[in-house]
Amino acid sequence: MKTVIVKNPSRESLPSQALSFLKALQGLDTAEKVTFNLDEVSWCCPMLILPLAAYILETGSDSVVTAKKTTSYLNAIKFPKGVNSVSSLEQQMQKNKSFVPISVLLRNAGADRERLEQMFGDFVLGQLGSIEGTSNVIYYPIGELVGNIFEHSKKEQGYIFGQYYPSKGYFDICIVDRGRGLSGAYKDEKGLSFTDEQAITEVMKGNSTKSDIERGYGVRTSKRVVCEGLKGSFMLISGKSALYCDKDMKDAIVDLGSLGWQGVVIGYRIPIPKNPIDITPYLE
Amino acid sequence: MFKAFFKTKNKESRANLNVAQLVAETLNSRDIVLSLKNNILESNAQEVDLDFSEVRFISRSAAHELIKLREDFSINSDKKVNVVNANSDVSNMLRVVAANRIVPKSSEILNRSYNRETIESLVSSLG
Repeated sequence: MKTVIVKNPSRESLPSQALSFLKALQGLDTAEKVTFNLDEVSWCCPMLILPLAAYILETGSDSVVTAKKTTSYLNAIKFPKGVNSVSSLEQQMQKNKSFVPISVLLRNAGADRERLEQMFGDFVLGQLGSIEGTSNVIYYPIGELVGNIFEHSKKEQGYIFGQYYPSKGYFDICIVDRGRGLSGAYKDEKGLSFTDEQAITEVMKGNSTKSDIERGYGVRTSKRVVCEGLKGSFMLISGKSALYCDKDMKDAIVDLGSLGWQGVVIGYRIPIPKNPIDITPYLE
Repeated sequence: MFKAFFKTKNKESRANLNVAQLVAETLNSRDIVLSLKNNILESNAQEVDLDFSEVRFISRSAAHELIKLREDFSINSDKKVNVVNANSDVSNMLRVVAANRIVPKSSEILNRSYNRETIESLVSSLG
């Protein structure tokens, strides 16, 4: 089995984290089994580590990962297998209150999936404080973006992971699927042929991959909540294109060139809220 | 098992369904709202109160599905479904989504333009 060396991200930004995992996967077949070497990686941020976990689980790659600098952290977050039930999440969070393990969300888990999302949101909220309005702006993107995984991907499972960095003053969250991607969803659901870039811009216009014209608000409004409401940054990758936005409202379509991801990766970074926030203006 | 969550006030007329106990305190997915439909149908009551007293949050998608579910019962059934004891955040979300159903998406959003970057140039520019 081939060994893939994962490079340490050169910067702290979400695109830098993404570039690290995208380069690690460059040139691999969609389902190629590999072993990952993370010896060079100093910080396993969600935007870097969750896509690798999803790749390992979905391809059946060797989960024996070498990681000299981050072994204890990877064990604490249950990389790569994660947890997929409320009871196992509760068990892990009692062992270590500073970390929430990788959560594997199952489409047909019903109320259990809903409670896993609730516990994840509660953990984020617990770290970021209780300023008025914070709970809405924390729960909203989690709910909408996880829901989107199951709406567009057609896969039976999705992944979510987050990490608080108190010294840096922000919380990173990543949500991943290994499904058909946004362009695949438009093709299958509506018969529309879009490039990955076009599919992303259609999603950001609020044009749902579903036929119901009342739908399609989730991703765009979540991005607004993160970037405008929370003054954070947001990145969405689908296929060979990506969207990046941050608090300065720099919205960019990103050409990934020969890099890419089968499915969708969404990462966002939330600074610690300092003032009350009203979610209403961003709901449209 | 779900019957434990029903409190029938009047066996034939009205039932109360505790949504948080049945599902979760935060309602995120459309699927979970659709699952409530079975619980409503299980009740013999003519009128079912969905009790949101312990629900802390409802997503936009779940709110949309809930509005459609109520509409569906209103049009296609003799059962009446009420949302009761919702907190101000849940009520606000339901109000926003209901209002939004009659307002088209703005042209500003539809015609938005984007900067174009390679990922390498973006990483460099962000520092």
